[in-house]
Amino acid sequence: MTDESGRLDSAKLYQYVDPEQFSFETTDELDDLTDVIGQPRAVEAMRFGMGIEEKGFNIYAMGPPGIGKESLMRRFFEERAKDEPAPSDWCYVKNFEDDNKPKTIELPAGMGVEFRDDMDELVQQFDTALSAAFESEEYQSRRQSVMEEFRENQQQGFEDLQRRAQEEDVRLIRTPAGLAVAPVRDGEVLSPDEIQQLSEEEQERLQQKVEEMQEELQEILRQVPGWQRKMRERLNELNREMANLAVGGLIDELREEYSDYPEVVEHLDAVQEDVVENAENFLPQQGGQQGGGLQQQLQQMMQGGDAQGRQAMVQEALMRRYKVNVIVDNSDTEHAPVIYEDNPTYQNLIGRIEHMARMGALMTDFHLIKAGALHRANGGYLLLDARKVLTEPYAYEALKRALDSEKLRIESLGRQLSIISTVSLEPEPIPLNVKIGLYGNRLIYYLLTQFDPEFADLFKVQADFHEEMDWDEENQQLYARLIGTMVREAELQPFERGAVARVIEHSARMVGDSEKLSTKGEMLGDLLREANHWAKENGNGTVTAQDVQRAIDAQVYRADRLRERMQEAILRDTVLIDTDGEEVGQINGLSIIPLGDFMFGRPTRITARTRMGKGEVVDIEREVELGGPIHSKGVLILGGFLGARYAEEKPLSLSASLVFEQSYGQIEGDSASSAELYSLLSSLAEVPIKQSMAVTGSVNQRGQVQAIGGVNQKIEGFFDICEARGLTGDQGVIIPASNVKNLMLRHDVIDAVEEGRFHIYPVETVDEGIEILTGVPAGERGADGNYPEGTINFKVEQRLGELAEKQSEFGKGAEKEEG
Amino acid sequence: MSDQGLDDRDTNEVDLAIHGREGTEGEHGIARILVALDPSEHSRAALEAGARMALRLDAELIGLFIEDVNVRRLAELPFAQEVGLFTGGCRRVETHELSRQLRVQAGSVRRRFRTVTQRVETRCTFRQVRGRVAPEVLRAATEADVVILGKGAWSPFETERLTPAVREVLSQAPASTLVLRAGTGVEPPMRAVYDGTSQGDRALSIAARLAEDGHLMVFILADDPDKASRLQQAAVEHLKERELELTFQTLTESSVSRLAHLVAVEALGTLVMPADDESMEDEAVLDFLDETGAPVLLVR
Repeated sequence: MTDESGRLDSAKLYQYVDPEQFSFETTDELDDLTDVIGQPRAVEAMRFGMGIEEKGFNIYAMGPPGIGKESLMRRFFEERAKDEPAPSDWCYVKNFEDDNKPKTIELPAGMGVEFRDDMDELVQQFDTALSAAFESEEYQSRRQSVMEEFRENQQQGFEDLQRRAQEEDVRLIRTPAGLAVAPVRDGEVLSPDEIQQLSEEEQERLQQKVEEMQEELQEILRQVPGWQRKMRERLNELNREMANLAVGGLIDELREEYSDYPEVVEHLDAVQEDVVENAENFLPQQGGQQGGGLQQQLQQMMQGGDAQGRQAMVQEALMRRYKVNVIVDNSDTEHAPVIYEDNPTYQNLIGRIEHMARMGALMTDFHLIKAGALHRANGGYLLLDARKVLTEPYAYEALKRALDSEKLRIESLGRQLSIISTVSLEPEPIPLNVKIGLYGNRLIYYLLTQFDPEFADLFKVQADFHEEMDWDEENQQLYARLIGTMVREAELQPFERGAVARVIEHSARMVGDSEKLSTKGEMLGDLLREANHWAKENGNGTVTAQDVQRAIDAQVYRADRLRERMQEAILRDTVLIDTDGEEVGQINGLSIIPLGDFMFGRPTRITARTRMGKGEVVDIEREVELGGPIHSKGVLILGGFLGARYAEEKPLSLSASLVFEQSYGQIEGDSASSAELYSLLSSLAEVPIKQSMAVTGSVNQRGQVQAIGGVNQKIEGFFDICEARGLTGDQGVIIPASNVKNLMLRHDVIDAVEEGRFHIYPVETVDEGIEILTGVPAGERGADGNYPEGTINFKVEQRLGELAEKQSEFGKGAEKEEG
Repeated sequence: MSDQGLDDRDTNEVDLAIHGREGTEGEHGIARILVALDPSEHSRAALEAGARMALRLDAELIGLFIEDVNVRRLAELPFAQEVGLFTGGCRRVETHELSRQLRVQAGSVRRRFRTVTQRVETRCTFRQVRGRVAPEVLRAATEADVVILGKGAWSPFETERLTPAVREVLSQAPASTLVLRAGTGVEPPMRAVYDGTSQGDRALSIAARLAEDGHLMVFILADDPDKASRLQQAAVEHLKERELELTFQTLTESSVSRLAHLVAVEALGTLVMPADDESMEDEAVLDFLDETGAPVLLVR
């Protein structure tokens, strides 16, 4: 792996894909990949989650964005849904017993609209049949007969009274406000004088007769309300009889057709009963004759326009009661539905009850109930983005409530929150049978699991998607087929095998591992499309490796403005970074700047100063709160290392300060802890460190150098500076040996290494590293417990011993002074 | 005179010319129409029929509202009590209260007259008198060519029969009379009875002028076919200037019952028939008018 001087062979810097190993020329020759690669755990979880029908086994697919959680889940759902039957249609109809609680009717797929259309037709037939019934000669004749009977009763009573009055020389007189009885002669009412002229006996008789007649008149008038009530009852009976005859036959036909559906039959019974009970509402208004109470209410509500128009609207409103609202129509659904709701608001999930404004008031009825995504997915599958659900007010709670109760209950949010107190609908709940596929990042999953006990009860299946997969021969072939499949699905030009090879290499680069490939389908798809674009620009009929490289370079170029600025600052010596010479207590550390999907490395000068103290290693970044906890931990570990190696049996009389020079932002991570240690050792041993080197690696208390992230970017970051200034042949980067497998460096870096103009040094211990950095052996403790003279460890231990003695002397001096 | 018409101090009449020009008398012989009014719906139908006829015949219209003197006299009686139509309760009749109610009633009838006659271009006069109904109508009828009455007008209670006052006017009126009940009007289909007399000719002329739909059914009163044929020809000749579609039916017996049957079976329309003083004394005619639901114009 390394040569005598510890330099890494160029073969280890990159894992090439030889296009010759592919048996195809272009991706056109490859079969489509139908299986899912690289996600065995997630696939297994999804299969389990879809197969189990118990409550609560909904699926949460977790992983970073762009990895294909949603598309994979949708694909799985659709495959399974194909073999499952289409679910029922759901309808809402009027509840004649309680206006505010519309009833549901479940029907086989496609029958909902049939039922609705049948009811529409029935209602139209009602109109015709009822009009014909109420306009028929039979009805008119019988109605007139009833009314005439009342009139006759009334008239007979009055006529009898009038006749007897005439016999007694009195007469009924009509006054503006009623009736009176008065004595008459020759058709004229007697005046008081004329009455006075009569005998007393006659006067008394007349008065008595008048009073008798008045009483009889009152008696007749008292009977009038009773007659009127009987007349109305008779008329209502007649209306009901006619209505029943008119609509009964029509409804019977429908009853027969839907005899297998008891809910429908029950509803038809209720419709018939309602039509018959409210028959007078279907009477056309005639002159002074009014329709029923319902019709009058509707007339009052529908103001404006001409009378005919209003009447038509009233009729429409009356008939609306009997129509059907199909809220879930599965006529065109061939199998179980797979629904994706991309805007999962409360109402879009649960459904809503709409209102219309009429005469300044908000009105609603069962026709204004609208389905939500859960309705549409009922009997099938629903895909939801977890972050979107959680960020929509009340959506998550509503989803849980529905899943837990296994019922879909549409409730107005305004009423729930007591914002609106007007009467609204409470539609009958619909049984819910749906499998939810929720997808999101891992953080959301673990937060929900930790803090929401209901979540764990309702989403028992976690499908964990991995960002990378093993790069072996088999997977490489499958990956090629995956590329071919994506190319065809996106209708891109075919990729040559060289282009496929380049894509695979870049996939490994994206995960920063020469033994892994990325499973981020979105990133892969973007690269393919961009390469295709460049191929078209070139007029190539196929996509070549050069097109892929161009796409990669273009992606980097679009993102690396900041890197360019930072490098410029270094090259212009605004930021001080040495790439040659040597300095005591100063070293080039390496850090990563992440910018979304792009990250780059840059060198940072780290300096250490040491003096007598009480054993603390001061991390200046931590002191000014620019250092994160992991960074601070790394620095504190240095103190442990120093103490364990050099001050086991004596005090560590050292005060050291470490700083990232010209760094004015937050620093996190411990990947620079080995660099910090080297600078400390250099400072203590007063041995300079080569500035032609840069270092990355985390260190533990035992001095072992541990793996870090972004090793490729860090190496390239230092390389770019050195190359810009002119490579000297001495420059290089020290990395943890455990990061060698992560190397997928740029080709210019590989070329420079091959030509001996730049070097990579993998190390396992700080001793290895300090030797490379200083050119001085680190030294191993001998049997006598001492380090060989002249070694770094010897010098460090010697220095620490000196500091300890001096501190002891100072301590004694201070005691004397106090004493 | 108060703005609302008669008050307690006035003698008898107030005459308000509402609007309009003089009318013209055509061959139908109707230049002035009198409508006797009370607050009932029967009188409303009579008023609307009168306005329609005034428009079609270019005649003047007089609306005569009679304040029954008996009502005022009633109030003077010490034991007079009024029974409410709706409440059935009994209360003393107070003179001032009654006067106020009568004025309100008159005002209401006058406003109705004004509204209904808006479209009539010829002179329309509202006349208000106090007296006994039949005599006042008969007195005013001497100035008119047609008197129109609501069938159940001036009845103390709701009825569709001829009231005594209406019967009296019908039997003694010096002019032609039209009687009709609430809810009907002088509307097509027009039917005329023709017997070859001058009244019959006038009946045809009037019916022809009123046939807005261009159709006229003529009942020929004849005992034999020859006479029927002659009368039919005469009717055709009389109406030749009119662009009417004529239908003829012969009644071999001029029986009122057969006529009533025909009118009842077919759709309600308006019947125009000749009458003389002799026939009007026949109770059968009055009974026919009592029974039929259709408007009947008796042409004298």
